[in-house]
Amino acid sequence: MRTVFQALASYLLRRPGQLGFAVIGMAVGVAVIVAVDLANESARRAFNASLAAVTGMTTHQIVGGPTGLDEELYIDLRLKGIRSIAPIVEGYVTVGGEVFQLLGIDIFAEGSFRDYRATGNGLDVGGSALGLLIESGGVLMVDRTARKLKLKPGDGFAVEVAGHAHHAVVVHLMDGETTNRGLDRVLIADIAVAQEWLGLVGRLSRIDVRLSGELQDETSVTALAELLPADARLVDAAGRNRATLEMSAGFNTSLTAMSLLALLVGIFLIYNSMSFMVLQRRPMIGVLRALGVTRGQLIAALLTEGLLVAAVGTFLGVLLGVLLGEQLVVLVSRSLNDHYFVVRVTEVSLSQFSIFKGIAAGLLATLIAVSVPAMEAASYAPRLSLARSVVEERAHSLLPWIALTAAFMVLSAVVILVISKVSLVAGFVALFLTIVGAALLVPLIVKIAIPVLSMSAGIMAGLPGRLAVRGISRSLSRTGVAIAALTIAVAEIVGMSVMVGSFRDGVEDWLGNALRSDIYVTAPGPGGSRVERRIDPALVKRLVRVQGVSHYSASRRVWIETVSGRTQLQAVRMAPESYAGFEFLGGDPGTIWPAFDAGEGVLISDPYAYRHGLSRGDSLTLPTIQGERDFTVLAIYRDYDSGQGVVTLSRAAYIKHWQDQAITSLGIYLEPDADNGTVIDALTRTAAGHQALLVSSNQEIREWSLRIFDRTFVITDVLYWLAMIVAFVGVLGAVLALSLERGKELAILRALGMTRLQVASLVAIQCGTMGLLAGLLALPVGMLSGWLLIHVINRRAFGWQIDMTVPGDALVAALAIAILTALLASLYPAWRVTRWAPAATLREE
Amino acid sequence: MISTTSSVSIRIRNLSKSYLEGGKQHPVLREVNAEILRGESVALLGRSGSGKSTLLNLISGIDMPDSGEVEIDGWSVTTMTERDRTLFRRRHIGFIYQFFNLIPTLTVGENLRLVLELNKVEAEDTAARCSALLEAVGLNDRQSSYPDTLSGGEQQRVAIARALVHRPAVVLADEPTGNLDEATANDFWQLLDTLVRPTGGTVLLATHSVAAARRCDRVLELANGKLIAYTDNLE
Amino acid sequence: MQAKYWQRILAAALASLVISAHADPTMRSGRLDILQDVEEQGYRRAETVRPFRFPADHGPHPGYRLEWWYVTGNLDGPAGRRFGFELTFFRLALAPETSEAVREPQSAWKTRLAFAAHFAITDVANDAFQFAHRYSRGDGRLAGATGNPVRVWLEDWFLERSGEGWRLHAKDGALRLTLELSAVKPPAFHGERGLSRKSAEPGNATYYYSLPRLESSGALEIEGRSYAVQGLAWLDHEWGTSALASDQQGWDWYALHLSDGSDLMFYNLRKLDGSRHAFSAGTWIEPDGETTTIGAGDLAIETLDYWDSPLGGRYPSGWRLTWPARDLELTIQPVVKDQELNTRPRYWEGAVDVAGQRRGVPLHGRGYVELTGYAQ
Repeated sequence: MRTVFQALASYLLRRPGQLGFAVIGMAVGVAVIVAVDLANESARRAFNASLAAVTGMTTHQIVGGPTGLDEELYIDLRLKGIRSIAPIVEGYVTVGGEVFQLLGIDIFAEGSFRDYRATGNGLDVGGSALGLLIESGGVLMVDRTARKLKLKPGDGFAVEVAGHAHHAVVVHLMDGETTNRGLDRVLIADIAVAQEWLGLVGRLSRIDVRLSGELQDETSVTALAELLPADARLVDAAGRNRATLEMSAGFNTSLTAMSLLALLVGIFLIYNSMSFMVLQRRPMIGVLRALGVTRGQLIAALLTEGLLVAAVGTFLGVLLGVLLGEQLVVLVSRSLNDHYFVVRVTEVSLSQFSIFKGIAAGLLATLIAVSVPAMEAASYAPRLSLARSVVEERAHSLLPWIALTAAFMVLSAVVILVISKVSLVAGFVALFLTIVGAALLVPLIVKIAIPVLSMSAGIMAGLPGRLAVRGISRSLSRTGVAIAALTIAVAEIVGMSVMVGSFRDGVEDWLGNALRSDIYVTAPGPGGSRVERRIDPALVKRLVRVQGVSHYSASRRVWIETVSGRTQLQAVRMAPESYAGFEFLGGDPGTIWPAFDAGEGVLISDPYAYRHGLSRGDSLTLPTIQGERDFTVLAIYRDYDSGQGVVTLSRAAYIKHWQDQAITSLGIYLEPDADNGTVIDALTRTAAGHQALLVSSNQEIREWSLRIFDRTFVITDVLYWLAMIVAFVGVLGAVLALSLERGKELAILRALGMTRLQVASLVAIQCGTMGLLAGLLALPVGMLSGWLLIHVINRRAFGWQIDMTVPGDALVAALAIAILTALLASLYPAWRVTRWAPAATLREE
Repeated sequence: MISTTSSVSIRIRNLSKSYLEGGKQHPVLREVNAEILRGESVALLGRSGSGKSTLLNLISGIDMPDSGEVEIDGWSVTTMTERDRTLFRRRHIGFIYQFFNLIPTLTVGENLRLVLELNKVEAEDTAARCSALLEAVGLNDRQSSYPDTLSGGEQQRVAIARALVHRPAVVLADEPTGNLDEATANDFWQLLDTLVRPTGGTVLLATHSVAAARRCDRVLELANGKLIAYTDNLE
Repeated sequence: MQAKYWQRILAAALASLVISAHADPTMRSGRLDILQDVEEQGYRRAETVRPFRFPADHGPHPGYRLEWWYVTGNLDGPAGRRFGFELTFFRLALAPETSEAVREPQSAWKTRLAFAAHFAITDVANDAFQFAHRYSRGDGRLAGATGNPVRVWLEDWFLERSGEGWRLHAKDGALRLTLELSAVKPPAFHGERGLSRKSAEPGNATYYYSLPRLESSGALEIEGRSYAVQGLAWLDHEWGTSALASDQQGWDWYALHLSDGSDLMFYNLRKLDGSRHAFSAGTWIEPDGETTTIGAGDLAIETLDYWDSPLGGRYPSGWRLTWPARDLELTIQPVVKDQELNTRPRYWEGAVDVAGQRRGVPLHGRGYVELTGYAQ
């Protein structure tokens, strides 16, 4: 057995290039998995840590309407002797361009809730936390954050909230390395300071409740709930945190799925390398079998060898993955910050589970990739193992079965899609089945296409061209896999391009339609619907009187806590033009608008309808300050602003139900003869000295929105380029293998008088044709996966409904990429064949 | 076809070649000299590993000597650039191998056409020449068959046809009958006679078989890297 | 009198809300170091004798750094059940009032006052002692003190004037005390007409008076049962900014109701070496409210026994007090050995029994003793 293994292995060791490709392919595949998982996991951990630090021992929370709770509720509960509660005023602030969560606390109520103390160095933050009360504008932060902001205790700095700058002072630093790990993006201030900065005087964002031990039974929860007024509700803190995390679940699932796609390509690559390693040694295997090595021994030896290669590849892959993860985590956290929540992912947390996943994926892929050719090799009668053509004949005879399997997979995908309806994971399974199914069809299609291609190649490049193209079909077991891998990678590009392109077109159209005003004035700050973002009421009055302003629309955007999580609420004061900005998916605007204006119901965005299973005419329950109220869904409108969905109602209705007069943003319409720039200047001047408002033209908002959009998809770009790299290595490996196998043939051609250049271009033509095939096949597969991405994945993950558009240039680009990748992959093999001395090869059989 | 002032077809001067084996130079050919006349058929006799194939490769320019010179019809093959050697080979040399070395992905007809295509022969001419040659080797009906569907003898006949289709000045054959049974080998010799002689082409044939060598006009024996010339046929 | 010490207790206790158990006493944090005696500027000081006006002076005295209302008493329940209680409210200014620009609108939470309260019950029959302590910002809603009406509170715990009398209430878990109190004697002013000097340096003093004898009745809920209780209580009200230099280890404070209608208060300031500090002092209050100041050298106190706290530290437990000039001799015994409050730092505050004689006439009584500086 050892000798068998040695015989097989020493052959490989003398061909380090082959071995190298197997290892590289493996490593890249595993690296992508590990990197994506690490990035996801790190972001999730950072967010969890931040949630945990901010949530502390809180078991429940009392939440209220969009502007939170009346602080008297808290005082009242305390005076009633309810002590396991702590008031919280929170919001988002900007320090030096960076977003921080501001947590306003009452240090005296905090004791049993959150632990801000520092350990390790013996620093006592607690005593100093009293400085929050003493120092006007005092804040606590972790030392790491202070270092980043270049601050030390006693230093003053500016905190910006909705265009107002406030003076803050660092009263003390908390140890962020050992204990307060989640507080990197958190500033802690006294509740009074937070109220004043956030414009929430008299209000609490929430009341944290700690019902511990035997107190946390149903009765005490019920008892506490009964003490609450109509506009306050007691919710489970863990559930609320979960809901926050789940907002980004679709995003994370998509990333994971994309990494799996890269692995899929990686598996093809591993399969290719491994099966080549087996096939290349078919004479030796034949001899070994003839000498009496059993099938079992042979399979065991080949599997052992494969797993050894896999172990090295996986190890390198994990290392590479960690490095890659560090880059990826930046992109992931940026997207999360853009769309979901404020979190700073300061480090890649080396999750053992992520690494385990990568290792498992790598080893499993290898097992599959090696066992197929190993069993095939072992199944030959000893003598037959000597003939390469037998392998190919088998491959060819397998084609119908493979095609059948492919058809079955695609069919399963359809069935899964029809049955599952909303499950994102099922959506991805269907996508995978479709792609793998399509990939399995590749060899058959190649076989069918080759005669045609060979004829056209013959016309264009004569017999050498024909020779090159026929070689593809002749070594289908090898080329088929390489083409399939490239097809998947390019199809992924096509699919993503179609999806992103369609999405972008949709967003662009929608922006064009929805943005009706000439100028937008907004209170700046992070988070689209943060309550602290408001334009000073006095300023609103002055702004709309600026010369050149004809009329205006106004909107208020807030979050409210509902039973089913947080809901984004938008209250609009409509301008005559505003109505056309809503594109209803069904229903007669002629009847919808009067009802809306009369406050008879709400409009919901399409993602909201999708997520909550609501249709026109249904009603939804929202907690108002008078208690829960049912609102009729008047219409569903197209919207790309929020994947969570938005509930829109008239400003009058909003004020009636929530008594919040604030305005987040103004849409200014100009007099016919007014100049955009002049009015923008005038508005800015009017606000100057009061509030630093964002005054932007329609055009700027549009551009800014698209910039955010594009930024979101940077990470998908990165991922599909990684898949391309994997595919590139795959094609390179396959072509190299091919030219090794074809060494003798090439030698004959040289002997017959073909120049080096002619032989090299033969290799290039062969590769280019493979690339062309992959590219051509990738177009329909890519379009199909684009369709799935748009109508299944995107819908299920983000709730968006997108009309599919076909970006012609992207398709052409994908085709070019496929061919160029293949040609690029042919460079080295082509160069190599020109180096060979054909003399020796010629005498061999 | 070949411009020359002498009747010498192949002239070999002081040709040496060694291979690096096990870390040291292993000489295969040492100062070999020979002259082969146009139209002659010469057997290159030697045991396995005596350097016969190496000599053929050096003559055809597939391989380069360490020192010495090869001249074919007055052209110094050894001083040409690689590209010129390839072009020269393409036009003036035909090859026949023990294992036939047909291109498996090309049909019988295409295997022949490839050579003509490389030599940029006109299409009509190509078809005629292919048909004529295949007719001559008795395989005209197998033009569109792939090599692996032919028997060994048939493949070798295709190989002869391919070696001659561009009317080379020199045909080099490396153990051409080594893989054939006696009857089939006889067919081979007959074909060589009937097809090459009339063209005035030179044939250099490497073999380890004395019987095969007897079929040629003259025999050169390669032993210990040296060439021993026999003025006459082996008797 | 105990202002300084309480200042420390309070500051440390506030810190202990979130403090590390291994607090480094050398820790400094800019100007916020309230554990140190650095920040006394900006406060008013008790420097001169002042007239007291009631009920206004029962209320808070802004501008001074520390103020407390401190009620202790012995109560009798039905069937011979006997209890002791302590309810104390502290007002601590974390920083002097400043006249900085007020931002509109201003948060009602804004304050630099902190309040603390201690509540303890001694259950003699069960030889048991329970206590609770609380802290709050003194924003005037969750906790605060007002002079009109007179009221000091921390959440649902309070002490307030009720007509001519007082009311107090505290509750912690199953422990609940509600009392009506009525003063038998007029306020007794300590030191020089209420200016209680703590050292030779002017300003190192507090304003300090007591309502030494309050007849109390009400209800005590303990361990699920409610008892009608009545007895005598003692109220101390003291405020100031600065007290002693830090050459004292702690003190022993005695407030005793005697059977002849007279009351005795004495505090024995212990120096680091254990000896009595020269500014130790007390007040003798006749049944009619007439007061006599007791000087540091007037009394002798001998410790009769000790009690070792399970948490560490050894407290005196039982004393013989002799006042030769008045021919007064009293033996003071705690009714329960363990009446230690595990605050930070810990202190002992407990109900005591008194027995003895004055000029040959047997005397008995009850009272409260406070022992500080015996445990870390």
